[in-house]
Amino acid sequence: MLDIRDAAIRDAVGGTGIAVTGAATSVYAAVQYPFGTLSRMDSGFFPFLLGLLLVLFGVILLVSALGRIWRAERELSEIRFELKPFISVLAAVLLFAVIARPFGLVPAIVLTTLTATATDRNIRWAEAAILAVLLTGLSIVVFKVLLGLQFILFRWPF
Amino acid sequence: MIDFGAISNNIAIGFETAFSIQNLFYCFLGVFLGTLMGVIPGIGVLVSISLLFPITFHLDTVSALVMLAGIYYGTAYGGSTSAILLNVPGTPNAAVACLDGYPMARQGRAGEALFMTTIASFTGGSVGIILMMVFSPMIAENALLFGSAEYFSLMVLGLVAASTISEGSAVKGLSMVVLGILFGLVGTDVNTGDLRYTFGLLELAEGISLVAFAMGLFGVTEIISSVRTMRANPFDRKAITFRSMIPSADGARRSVGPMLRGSGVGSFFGTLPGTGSLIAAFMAYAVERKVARDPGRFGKGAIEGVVAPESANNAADQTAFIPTLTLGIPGSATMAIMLGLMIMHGVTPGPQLMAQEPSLFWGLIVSFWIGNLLLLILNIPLIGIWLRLLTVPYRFLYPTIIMFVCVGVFSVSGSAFDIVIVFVFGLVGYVLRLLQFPAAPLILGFVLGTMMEEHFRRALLYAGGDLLTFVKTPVSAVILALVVAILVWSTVSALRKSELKRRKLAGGV
Repeated sequence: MLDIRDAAIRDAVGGTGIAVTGAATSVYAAVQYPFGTLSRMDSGFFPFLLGLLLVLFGVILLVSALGRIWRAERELSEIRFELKPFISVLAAVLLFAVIARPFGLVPAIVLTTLTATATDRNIRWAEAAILAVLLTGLSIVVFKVLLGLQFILFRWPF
Repeated sequence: MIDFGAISNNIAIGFETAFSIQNLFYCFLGVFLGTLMGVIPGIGVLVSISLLFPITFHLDTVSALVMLAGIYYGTAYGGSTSAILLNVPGTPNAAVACLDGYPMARQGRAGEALFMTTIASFTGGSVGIILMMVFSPMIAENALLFGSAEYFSLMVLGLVAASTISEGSAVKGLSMVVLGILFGLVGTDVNTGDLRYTFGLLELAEGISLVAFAMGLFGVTEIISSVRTMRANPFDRKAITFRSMIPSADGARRSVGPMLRGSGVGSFFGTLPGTGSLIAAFMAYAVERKVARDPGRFGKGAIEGVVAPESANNAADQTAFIPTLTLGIPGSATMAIMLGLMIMHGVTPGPQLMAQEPSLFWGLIVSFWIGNLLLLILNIPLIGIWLRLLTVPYRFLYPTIIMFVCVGVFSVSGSAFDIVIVFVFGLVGYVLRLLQFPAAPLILGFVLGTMMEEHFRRALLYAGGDLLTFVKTPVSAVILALVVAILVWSTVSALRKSELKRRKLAGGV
């Protein structure tokens, strides 16, 4: 089972990820960029080496983790995957990226704030709405008035 | 030899720069905002600096650096306030302040603890700054003779030490360093003009934005993991009056020795790569327990247990600047981001900096001192503001932080792409945290990546492709020998640890 509370499982997953990333990096460097020679290195040389290092580290992690799984050494720690904030916080950031340019700063901040708090049961809807208004005001004061940056507050792109 | 004439001359240059009304104002602003950030639990120095960086972005170089430095030690200072009052360190570095600070607060001595913390911070900071003034010119002078081989080896040493000495698995730390270097290489290769790992995205031609990278990895990741768990402990705000802050004569007398010892311990650990202020604070705490006549008092509200780590913490924060400014090689993730931001402001730290821009260099150092003095003056009357901030529930704070991350990143580049970068590294950072990979080495590798490649290439170019060039010059050979020693040591200790664990498991069942 993929139980992330178990250190050996975590290391096996992480090691595999690191090794795969390293291999992909090296292969991509080898295919895409010229190597040059040791005395005149071209753009592919250094990333290729680093990719190999990652493969080495990933394999070490994986082998040691598989050893522990084989010997059934379980070492549980308190790690929880916080699914709700994971979704709402990341969605809030992405939403800002999508909205800020075409629609302007104000809709971006309001929607980001409402999204970030959407899955949090501790904050009431009305509180979130008031917070969104306050944050819009605050950011206008800080960035537009005090720092004098040129932000577009509202825009209708259609 | 220590040249006192030169030092006083340097201080004079520094005062001229730092004492303009403008720079004093930005120093104040930096310290103020930094303390504000530091008090909020969950915001470390790294997040605080990247969060406030957009404000400095549009200032002139000296003011911007003065303000950044102010943010840096303001945050470091602010972290201990919430550690003492809430038992929640505002920054991870302030964790040691909880050990005796919180018990003091429980006994109604919060005011005294806060006051002595301020004095200890100032003492530690001052000792660190004096050492910086004395040693920086010597180191920079010697470093001027370094070639690319030496620089490459020094960077390897810094990265290996920083990723293996801290807690957790050394292999995980090392793989994060290498991954960080690779992220740092994304963009245009300065030597050949090739676009590397941009996958056709024009926005990546200038590389991944440092601020967006750091905000995603540290800011967003931290918020995701604390939304559910962060709960403010109640504390009695009214009990902390101005009068209650005045320490007892006994407490003040007891604090002098620990403060000085703490400053010494902290200054030493601050200069080493990978140790930083948290380890410095723990060491200082351990030293005090060793020398105390009655170690039983520790953990139950001993004033020595508050002031020694706090002065060590601040001394280390200052001396950490020595390798960063004189060699251009940061020893911690926080210093890495300081270095990266300095480069964005057009200043490249290194041995040439002191010679070419003495007013900037010494102005910065004098502003450190002014900043520490401002902290001392600010925090005693302003403690009420910080206390009020601590009563704000986290459910209002985290949306505010997210908003500042987004608007801040957007204001630096005006591009929505950088916010997508924040998103991507928020995701990556959270997955890495779940798998318990340390994120700090990622930043170090990221900042040093292109410089490392550059020195690697140049060293081999001069040596005609002879890899032995790295061991042929004595300085580089000694440094690489240290790297090997660290690697061997961490391998041996990891093997021993797992052997112990296995035996314990076998014996326990």
